[in-house]
Amino acid sequence: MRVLILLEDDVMDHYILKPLFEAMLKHVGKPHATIQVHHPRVAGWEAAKKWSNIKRVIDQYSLVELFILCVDRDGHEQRRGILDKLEAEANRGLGPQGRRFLAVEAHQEIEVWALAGIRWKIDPKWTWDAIRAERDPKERYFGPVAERMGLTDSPGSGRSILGKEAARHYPQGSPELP
Amino acid sequence: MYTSLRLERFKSFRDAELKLGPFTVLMGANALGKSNVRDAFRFLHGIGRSYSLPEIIGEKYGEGGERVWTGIRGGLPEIAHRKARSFAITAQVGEDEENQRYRIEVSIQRRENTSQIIDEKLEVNGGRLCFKTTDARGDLMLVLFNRFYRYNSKEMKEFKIIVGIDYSDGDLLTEFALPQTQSFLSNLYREYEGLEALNPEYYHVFSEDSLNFNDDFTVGKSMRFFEWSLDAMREPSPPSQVVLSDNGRNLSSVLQTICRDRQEKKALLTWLTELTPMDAVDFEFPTDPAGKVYATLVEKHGQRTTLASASDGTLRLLAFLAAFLGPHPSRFYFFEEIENGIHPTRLGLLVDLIENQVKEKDIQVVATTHSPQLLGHLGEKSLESASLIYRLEHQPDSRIVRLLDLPDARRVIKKYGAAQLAAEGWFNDTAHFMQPDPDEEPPAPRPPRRRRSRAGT
Repeated sequence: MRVLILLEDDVMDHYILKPLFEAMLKHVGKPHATIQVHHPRVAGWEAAKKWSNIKRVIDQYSLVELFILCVDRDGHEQRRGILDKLEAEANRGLGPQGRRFLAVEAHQEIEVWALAGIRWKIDPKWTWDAIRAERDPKERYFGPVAERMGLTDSPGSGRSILGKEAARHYPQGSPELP
Repeated sequence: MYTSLRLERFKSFRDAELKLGPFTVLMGANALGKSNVRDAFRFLHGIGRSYSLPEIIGEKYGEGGERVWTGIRGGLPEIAHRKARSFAITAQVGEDEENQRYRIEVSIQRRENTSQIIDEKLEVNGGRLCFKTTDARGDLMLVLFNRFYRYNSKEMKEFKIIVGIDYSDGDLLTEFALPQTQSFLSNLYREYEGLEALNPEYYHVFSEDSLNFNDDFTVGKSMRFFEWSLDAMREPSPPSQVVLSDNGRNLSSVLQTICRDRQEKKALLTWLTELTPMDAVDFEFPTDPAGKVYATLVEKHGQRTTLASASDGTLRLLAFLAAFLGPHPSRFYFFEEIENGIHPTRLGLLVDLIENQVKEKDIQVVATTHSPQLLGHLGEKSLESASLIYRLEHQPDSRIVRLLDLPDARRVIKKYGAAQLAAEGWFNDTAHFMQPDPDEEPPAPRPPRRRRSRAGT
């Protein structure tokens, strides 16, 4: 299977998403899936949600069977609705070709998915519900954990190592994981 | 002109072929094998310079103990892919029906901590054996064009070659000798050049085999591999030095030589004013107390700038101009990361300069780049030969694909532009996506058709 991941911030998010999606696809019987991460010219939610950008990527990648857009929810409840519309619009054209477009939002940031890999090291007072509800889990949870584990100098300030850890433990981990 | 380069078990390449045009751009991320392509061309150049294989792969020192050749990076232990016992480089030269394919294969014996070349072989045009230096038992022997035979003993210090034609009477034509330590391959040029004078009939035999050694194959003699050093370019140079060195040394005296020709000087100044914001109108070449010249740029308003204080970008652009416009042009140029130190808005002009030179002169340029902008400036012909060097995840070998051979490439490049696609990683992504999917179930074998029995049978 050929999968292209679209994201808001390819510089940081790919550390977490690439290994995680490899693990997910392996879990569903696609261990050799080719997963590439798209490098958008413009980063951020505003560019990621633009249908013209998504349409362009779909047109460029005629070999891709599954597109997955991953964004931060950032506390905005209405984002799911926008993503649903994008999914519907994209799949209208892709569906008849046997291809799919999925859009998922992390509660509230992609970094929460990386925390799944170290669930046993998280402060016992922390709960997933609290982490999910936090608007800035990157600053509040991910950053302190990476610092405590001495990962701030590693690629992605700990995202690379923690993303792989999360993948290693998939499908266990955060209930937040897709 | 080289039209293709096939690398078998050479460094990071297991088996890959690079198609070449007059100006070939190689793209690819770091550590994927772009410099190994350069090493392959340097290998051919070493042969063209009549160096022995140990010298080409290792190092060569001049009479004064100075190093005159830096070997292939990693030397003999690392030249073959994943410690293979042999590697081969096939160069195709000439265009259309005049194509010649030369395949050079080198065998390596590996012991615990040492590696040794034990055989070299040249084949022309798909397997025709030109020569081979050992037989299956490892004894030295020589076979030329399936006609020339000479067996030699390992004890002999000199590798004496008796050249003969397999006439029915076994008539011998001539003989020449090579030290056993030298590569026959490297001496092919040297010997061939003397052949016509030595013996017209012998020359005829070579020519009869249509090897064209003195034309296409000898591109290997005339190759340049530039790696600019700003310090070297800033140095004043003796006026007698009219060849730009590989790191850009002698830039001042080469510019002085160019400026002696009014037309060449005009071309130099025109390119310079296009490539830099300088309003250069002239060059001056004052000398220092030692008699060395230091080129000085003169601008319209009288401002004078010596190369010692010229900007890094100006120096690099001047070096490109000196390489192409200077005396004794080569037939082949290789530039690594050609965009280094050049402002993105000037890359189009650099491409224009190179495309202009390869069109006007009998030269070929291969360049590596990390610049999407440079790709966007390539003309139609250059884009045809632009290639991507890539490596699949968890695979040890480097691969090469022409950008336009990627699925759907022509359509998307036309629609979105090569620069934008390169910046977004489209070429690399598509090279990965075009691989067969091992998770896909192979199509079920079709049941054999039953023959319908004909009525009445």
